[in-house]
This record gives sequence, C-alpha cells and structure tokens, in this order.
Amino acid sequence: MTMHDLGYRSWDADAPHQKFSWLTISRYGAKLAWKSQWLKRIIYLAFMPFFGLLASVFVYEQVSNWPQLYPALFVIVEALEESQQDPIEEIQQDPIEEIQQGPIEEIQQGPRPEQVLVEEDLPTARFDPSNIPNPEEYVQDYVDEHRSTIWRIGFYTFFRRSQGILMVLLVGMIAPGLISRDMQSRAFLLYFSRPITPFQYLLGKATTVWIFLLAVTTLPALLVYLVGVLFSPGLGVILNTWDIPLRILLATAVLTIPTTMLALCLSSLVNESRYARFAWFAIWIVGFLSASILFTADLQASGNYDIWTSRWAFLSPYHVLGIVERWAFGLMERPADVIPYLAILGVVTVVCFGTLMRRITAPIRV
Amino acid sequence: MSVNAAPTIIQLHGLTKHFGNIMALQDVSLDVPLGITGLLGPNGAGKSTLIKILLGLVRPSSGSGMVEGRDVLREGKAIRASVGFMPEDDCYIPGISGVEMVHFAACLNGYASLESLRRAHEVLDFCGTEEERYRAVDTYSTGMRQKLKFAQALVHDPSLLILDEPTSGLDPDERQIMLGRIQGLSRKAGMSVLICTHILPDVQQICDYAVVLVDGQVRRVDSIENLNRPASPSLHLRIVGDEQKYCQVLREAGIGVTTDSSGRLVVSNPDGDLAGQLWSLAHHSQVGIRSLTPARTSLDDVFIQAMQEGGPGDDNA
Repeated sequence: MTMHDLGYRSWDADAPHQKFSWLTISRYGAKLAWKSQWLKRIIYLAFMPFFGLLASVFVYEQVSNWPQLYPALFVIVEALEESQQDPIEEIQQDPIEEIQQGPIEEIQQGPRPEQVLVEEDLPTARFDPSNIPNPEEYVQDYVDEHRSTIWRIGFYTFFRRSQGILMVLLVGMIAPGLISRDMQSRAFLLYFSRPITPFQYLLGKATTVWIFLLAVTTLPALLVYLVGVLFSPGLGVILNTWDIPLRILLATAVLTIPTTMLALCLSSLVNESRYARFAWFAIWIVGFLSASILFTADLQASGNYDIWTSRWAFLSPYHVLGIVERWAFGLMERPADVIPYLAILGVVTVVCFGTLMRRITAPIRV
Repeated sequence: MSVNAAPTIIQLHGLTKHFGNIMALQDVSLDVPLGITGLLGPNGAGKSTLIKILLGLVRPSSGSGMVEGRDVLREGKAIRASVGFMPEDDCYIPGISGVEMVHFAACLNGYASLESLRRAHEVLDFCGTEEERYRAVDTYSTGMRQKLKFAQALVHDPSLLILDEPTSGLDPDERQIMLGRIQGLSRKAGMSVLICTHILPDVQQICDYAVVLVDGQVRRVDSIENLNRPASPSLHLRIVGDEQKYCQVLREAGIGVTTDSSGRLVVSNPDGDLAGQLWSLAHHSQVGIRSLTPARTSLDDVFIQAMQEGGPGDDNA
C-alpha cells in the first residue's frame, strides 16, 4: 500500500474545458516533441531569418537618417521590385503604349524617383543628390512610396525562402510520429473512450504541428511588422500597410494547413514513423528535383525562363506553395494564375483530411 | 433479458450489429443491474463490439440502448464523460510518465490541469503505484501497465466502470488486490462495474451478475447465485467402492446421475428424499459414501453449457 493511500475518494470537480480538451492532445504532443534535441536546434535556427528580416525592416525605416546608404537603397529597391515582376507579362506589354504613357505620367506626377539615378547599369547605379534640394525628404518620400511593396517582398521572402525550407524540416520531425505512434501503441481507445471525437483528435494533433510552425513563421512575422510600424516615421504607416498582417495570416494558412494534413496523412498510413518521415521528405525532394529538371528542359527548348510560369511547377510542393504565397502577399501580376495552384492545395488538403478521418476511425469501427 | 427488478444501469433492446456479412451481435436485449456484472464469452463472441456500442463509438445496425439513462446512439460523448473504460490493449503514449498519463486522461475529460494532477496522484495512490509513477510508461511491466490503465479509467470518478480483462498479466497477489479494489469500488463507492474477462474464477469471486455472450447472442443472464444453482435439487457425491455398479443401481431407482467437470458424481431426483435413498442404495450395493454435499454448478459448467446451446431460445435465464 502506498504511503498516501486513503482509499478511493469521489471527485466532484467540474469539467469546464470539455470543448477544448483536444488542446490537451496538442499540449502533450508539443511537450513530447520538445524533448528532441534536434528539434530544439532547428527551432533556434529558425529564428535566425527573423533577426535578418527585423534588421532589414529597421534599416529600411531608418535609411533616411543615413545618407551614405541612399544609393544602395535605390539599387536594392529596384532590384527587389524587378525580381518580383512577371517576365512574361513584361514581354507581352506593348512598348509603344509604354512610351506614350511615360510623358503623361511625368507631366501629372513630376519626375519619378528612379529618374534621379544615373541609369547606366542597374547594379552600378549611383544616386545623384546634386539636382535635389532636400535629399532626406526625397528619400523619405521614396521609402514611403515603396514601403508596402518592399515589406510584402520581405515577408514573402521570409515565408518562402527560409521558413519554407525550415517548415519542411520541422514538420518532417514532428508530424510523422504523431499518429503512427498511437497506432503502434494502440492508444486510440485511450483517446476515444473519453469525450473526444475523431475530428477533435485530429485537431489536437494538427495543432501540435501548428504550435511550432506559428512560433517560427507567423509570430516572428507579426512581431517584425509591429517593429516596422514602431520604427517608421508615424503611425500613418498602418494605413499604408494594414493589409500585411492579414496577408501574413493568409500565407500562414497556406503554409501550414495543406502541409500538416499531408504529413499527418502519411503518419496515419503506417505504424512506424520512420516510413512516414521518409515519404514526407521524398515528396519534397523528388518533387523539387523533377520540377527543376523539367523546367531546365523547357528553358532550353522554349526560352521560358520563369519557374513561376513553368507548367512543371505543379509537380513540386515547394513551388506550388511558393506561387500561392506570392499571391497571398499580392506580388502576382495576374492573380487569376494562382487558381490551379490553389486548387492543387485544396485537393491535397481535402483528400488528406478524408484519408485521415478514415484511418483514425478505422480502429474503433470494428 | 433481465436479472430481476433491480435498478439497471444498462438497457439494450434488440441490438444488432453486422460488419458486412459478419454478424457481430444478434438481437441483444439485456438489462444490466447496478453492481458488478461479468461479461463472459469466447473470443469473437461480440464482447468488444458490445463495449464499443455501450461507449457510443460504434453505431448499431438496429436496436437501441441506454447507458445511465443516456441514448447510445445520440449521447455517446456524454456517456464517455461519465463512464470509465479500461481497455485490454496496452494503450499508452510512449515517452510520458505514469502520472502524466493519468493526468492526460483527466484533462481529456475536460478537467483543469492542476486539479487533474492532484487527482492523478490520488488515484495512483489508490491503485498502488508508488515511485514508478514518475518513470516513462514504455518501461513499465505488464502488471504496472494494468494498474496504470485502471487508474486512467478511474481518474474522472465514473459512475460506471467497464474493465476489459483487468487481471490479465497480474501475479496472484496483485490479482487478489485488484479484485479487492474492484469490489471495494462497487460496495463502498457505489460504482457499477462491467468486467469483461475470460478468467471465470474472478467473476465467481467478485461479480453479482453474469452475462454469457456466444456468437453475438446473449445465452445467459442471471445472478451468480442463480447461475450456480442446479436446475433441479442435486447433490455432489463421492464414494468408496464400485462406482459403475452403484451408478447403475441409482439409475434403476430413477435417480439421475452425471459427472461434473471435476469428476464428481452429481445425483438428482426431483421427487422424494434423495439423501435417504442414496444411503439406502449404498448399503445394498456394498459401497461407502465418502462425501455428500449440495451440488453447485460451477461457472465453467454454465459457460460450457451456454457455448453448446444453439441459440437464445434454449436458455433458461
């Protein structure tokens, strides 16, 4: 008999959290995942790009105070905006129309900021302040004018490049064991003999993954936005950038929901997490390589040098996510182009969700 | 089928469940009274399916059922909130400790975390789990896992406890302690218990009632007392001498003679003074009577008889 055994005693406590008891699954899932030293290292690594983005936004907002950075500002802004243009659309634009529009715009708006650059060659462009009476004010106007686009490009790059790749690693470490381990240890009856539905079980498991993903994507991005607003000249910046937090949330949904569903679906299909992990990484690597190889072949055959408009992008989950995130941050020239890729993500999510529900309920159906 | 007019905790009416062509349960009608009830049946009899229906996890093909006055078809979640279930399978989450496992179970029922932790320790104390509660459940022996599963089933103070093979994997001492705990929960805490087991002596020892399920049909439902009582007044007899000759003499005198599973003679005669006849015939046959006791049908015999019967029409419950 244990020292403190007082026999059985009834318990009259209330159960006020029944609707949110699935959060217990997430809490314990996250707690177990956090025991992995590798996961901790990846999470720490995942915060490095956050500091990079934070520094970039800070410098952009404070650049008017540093005259030595003025030339670089114009070069970088031009290069960033150029990098986001759709080359096909650029080729298709009528050059005569462009020439005709030019002078009218100049008459209406005055000289464009780009015209103060000595436009020999973009990478070596120089800022010439001699013909500007107040360069500081001029630069601030330039910063204000391009803020929304530059921030969106910054956040898109953050989501797409660094956190996109880290997401693959993080999900690949956490999700494959979440359901397969329960199948292996036959823990289903432990959950379902409680007032938990299969959907709540799935929600609990998905939230385990989302906790980590939100910690390395959405929260840092929103924090950077907040810091950006605080370091900008005035709170009027919010009027100019109010859509960015919403775009961050949309990009988060794009990044997390289909990927989590796919990873959990793989986890539910096998009893051993290593097979699910292998399948997860294989999908991303094989998809990326196939799309890249076929894209290169296209490049040689037709001269289509843009991966975004490549017809093979759909083969690679990484590219599909990138295209949809680009749309989410409003950087697509033709937003309608995103529809097939949104459809792909939608189909993947629905099919994985259906498979998951079927696999989760299978042990309790018989 | 019902045992008597006692208050019931489970009522099932015409419950049928089939998986494709396989009939798991056939027209099960059953009233389970408060107290401890044993659910017996061979493998594949439909016990697990019945438990899942009681928990509202599996929808019956036809029929209806109530657990604690709640409809199994529509109020599964409410049933699961007030019923404790101890599964036969290990059912653990690798990597967490015993106390975390019980805390997890309480939190899944919607209780506040801190209060759940206090309760988890209290229930583990009751279940006899000491310092090992802080070890990872993966390292537990079968017996320790049984105690942990029992604690999980109890943690939210259910009014009905469904235990699937609660004593399997326990050593004889632990088995007796476990049976004592179950009996105590029913007698002192007023908890109703449904025990699904193959270990008939456990049922004999602690159950008030038993249900025998064979091929998806209820073959026997009665109190243990009634199940142990033979169909007609009978005596167990052991003799010294020529047993075959004595049996022949008894039969000629119109006394029924059979042999039970332990090799004892079971004699019955609905009419007259059976004991007097036995002594008289023994004297004439030159045999000695070593022992003569009132016969009780063992649960093994009840179980075997129920297995051999064809269907619910043959039962005598």
